[in-house]
Amino acid sequence: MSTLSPAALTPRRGKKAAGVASVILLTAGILILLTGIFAYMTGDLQVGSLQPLASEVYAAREIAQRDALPVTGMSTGLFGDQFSFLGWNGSLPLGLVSTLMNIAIVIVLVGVFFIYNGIMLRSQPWERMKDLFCIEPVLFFFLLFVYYPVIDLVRISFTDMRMLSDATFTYAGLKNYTWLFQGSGWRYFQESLGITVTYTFWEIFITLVGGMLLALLFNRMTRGFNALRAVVFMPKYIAVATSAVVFIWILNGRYGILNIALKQFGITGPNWLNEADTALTGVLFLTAWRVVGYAMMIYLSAMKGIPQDYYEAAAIDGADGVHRFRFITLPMLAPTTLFLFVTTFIASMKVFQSVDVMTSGGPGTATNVMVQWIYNLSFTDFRVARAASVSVVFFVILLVATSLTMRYSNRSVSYDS
Amino acid sequence: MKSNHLLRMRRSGWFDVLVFFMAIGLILGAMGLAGLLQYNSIQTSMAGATAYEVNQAQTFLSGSHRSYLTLSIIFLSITAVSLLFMRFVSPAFSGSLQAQRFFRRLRVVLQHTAAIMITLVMLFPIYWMIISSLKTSEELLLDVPTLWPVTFQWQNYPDVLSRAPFGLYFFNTIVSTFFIMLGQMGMGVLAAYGFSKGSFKHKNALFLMVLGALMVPIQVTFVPIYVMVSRLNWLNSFPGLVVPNLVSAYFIFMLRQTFMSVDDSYLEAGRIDGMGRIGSIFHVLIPMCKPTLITLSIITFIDGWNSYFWPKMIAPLEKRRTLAVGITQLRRTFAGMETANYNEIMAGAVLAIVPIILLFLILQKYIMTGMSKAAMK
Repeated sequence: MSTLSPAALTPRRGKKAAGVASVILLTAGILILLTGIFAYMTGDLQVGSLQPLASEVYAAREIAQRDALPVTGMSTGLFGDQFSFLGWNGSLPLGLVSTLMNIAIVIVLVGVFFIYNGIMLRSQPWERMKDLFCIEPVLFFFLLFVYYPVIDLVRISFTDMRMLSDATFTYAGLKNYTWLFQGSGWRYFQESLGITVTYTFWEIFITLVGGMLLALLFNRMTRGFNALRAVVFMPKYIAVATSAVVFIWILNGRYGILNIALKQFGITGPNWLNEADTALTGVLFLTAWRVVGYAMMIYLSAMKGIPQDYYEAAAIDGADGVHRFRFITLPMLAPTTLFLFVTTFIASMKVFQSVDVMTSGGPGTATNVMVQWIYNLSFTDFRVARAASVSVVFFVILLVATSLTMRYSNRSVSYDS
Repeated sequence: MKSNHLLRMRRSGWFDVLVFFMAIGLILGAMGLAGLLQYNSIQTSMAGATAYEVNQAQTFLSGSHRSYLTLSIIFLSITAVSLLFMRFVSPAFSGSLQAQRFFRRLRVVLQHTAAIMITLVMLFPIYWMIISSLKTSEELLLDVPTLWPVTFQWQNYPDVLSRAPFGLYFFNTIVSTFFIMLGQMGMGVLAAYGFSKGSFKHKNALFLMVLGALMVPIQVTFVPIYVMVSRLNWLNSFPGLVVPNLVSAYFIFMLRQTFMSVDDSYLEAGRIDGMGRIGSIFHVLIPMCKPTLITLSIITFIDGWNSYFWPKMIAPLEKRRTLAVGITQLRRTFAGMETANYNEIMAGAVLAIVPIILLFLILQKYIMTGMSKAAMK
């Protein structure tokens, strides 16, 4: 940084203002936060959990207003909930308090950034600080919407938060975790994890094997094949939700074209999405349709990168097509295969859209994959705290599995060059 | 003489494939036979039981022993036929050049046919969607469906438009996608610049935060984010749809990789000419990384347009429902009579898919090259 002008190095006034502002912000934020935490901890002040309630409650409320049905268990609104604090009864705008809590978190975050910048400003010139400012919005966002929710998730998992109760919750210790590991949740958890792993296995299988076979088949660099490849690749970019609706129609038990086609061969097709044995297969049809073209494109572009010399040398040694595939193409594509494996694994463990649209986890719990279960726990059972505890466990599983696969793949294959 | 043939066959790569097939066939056959034995023993031991009880008693082997046996027979017969072909047919042709040329041409023809067949299969759901959307209800429910509508019922489209406010869904989708794109590109470009070309303390440690964000999926942390958004009173609103998606770690990561490939001397030259940070981003980095940026923004757009998980949760009311959610909710409006009305549902699906297909066809080049580039990194 020799080209810097000396004036750019020390903006003294900015430094001081920043310091004062950061201290004020941080103090205010921490004060609000501490008040909130103290109120939570004492349990006297039970802050409204979800003031505007869940989606279904909205719908229920609309129906109730239209049909004049009484709906019970509803929060009274943003302001005026009764509460008692250290023996004093009165009313406080609880919605405001919870909003203030959120604002406090933002303020604390801003304060942390100000202080960090202040410290950094002592050890590096203003010119470098500008680079730091470039990335700070993103860091701020990640702290607020990625890392803070992780902490909040753990916090919620120790409460008894619900969406439909009278908008109050308290800390319940390990209640949700005992429910999950020793209570009635354990059976669902095992089942759900099993379904997710089954789905993941098949999606990875389809991606790797189907993609490789299609890549071998479409490996011809002509104009016509370009068009064909584009068509095969296209499903990836059509919304899962929309294509799921189309597949529901195709897989219909009586009128679906698949079963009618099967009947021509004398096979009576099952009622795919409405039978416990075949529902996951039905979902996998959609997955296969979406995923195969993408894997094919990835494999093809990697195949283009294999030097032609290898094949020529092999041909001189008398290797035929299968040998060339087995001893040149397949080993050379190992990094690509691992890439596809890792990305597909991460994506398919979190499968939700296709399952939700096609079966909503049913029939029964036949396709109740992990995310679907968490979703149902929070939005149909309204047991937010239980959903949070399942999320925590699932998150740990995901993290461990992902880091294991990443570590293994880093050791066996280098991504260099 | 015979051992000679065996040697020759073993030298071919196909031989290994066939051995593999045979192994699969044998394993399946063993499973099928075990299943058959189990099935028979269950049948005899539960002679007096009802069909349901017998069904319940089946294990995974006995329950589907027929399919195991069928698959095993298919595999074994493929192996046998191919081995016979290799033993008797291929040596007859290996000598003559003409035959080899014939086989090569046959292979090309077969490759073309197979590729076209598979493409048609992949295209079929879209074709079927469009065709179903033009049929009448009676034609939709025929026992032997028609592959081309006898009477075109264009009325389905106005019908579905009057059934659900598709214009509103379009508006919601476009607005939220636009702002998501704006945020992801604006902040993403800045951050990618900072992480690739900037120099400040703790750069690598701070970049770990971006990488860490890649590891935290919203499917796991949606509960607290939902609580946060609902406390801010952002349910069923554009801020709720947009704000949690404003920054994408993937976008930053990919763009940083691309920016890093730009040589520092270009920026240095710009700096000598008196360019600031914003200037060098706009006049040096963005023009030089245009293809990647275009690809990334297309992917961002399509992801935003197609997103389902978050909009379904955060904007369930019609007021801010997006297109992808709207299509799935369409089925519910028929109150159990959806089978007969699938022509209308398919019409809605066509309306939702058409913009994306058009976009894909127009920008195909960028998407396809960009995808493969992304995989290489």
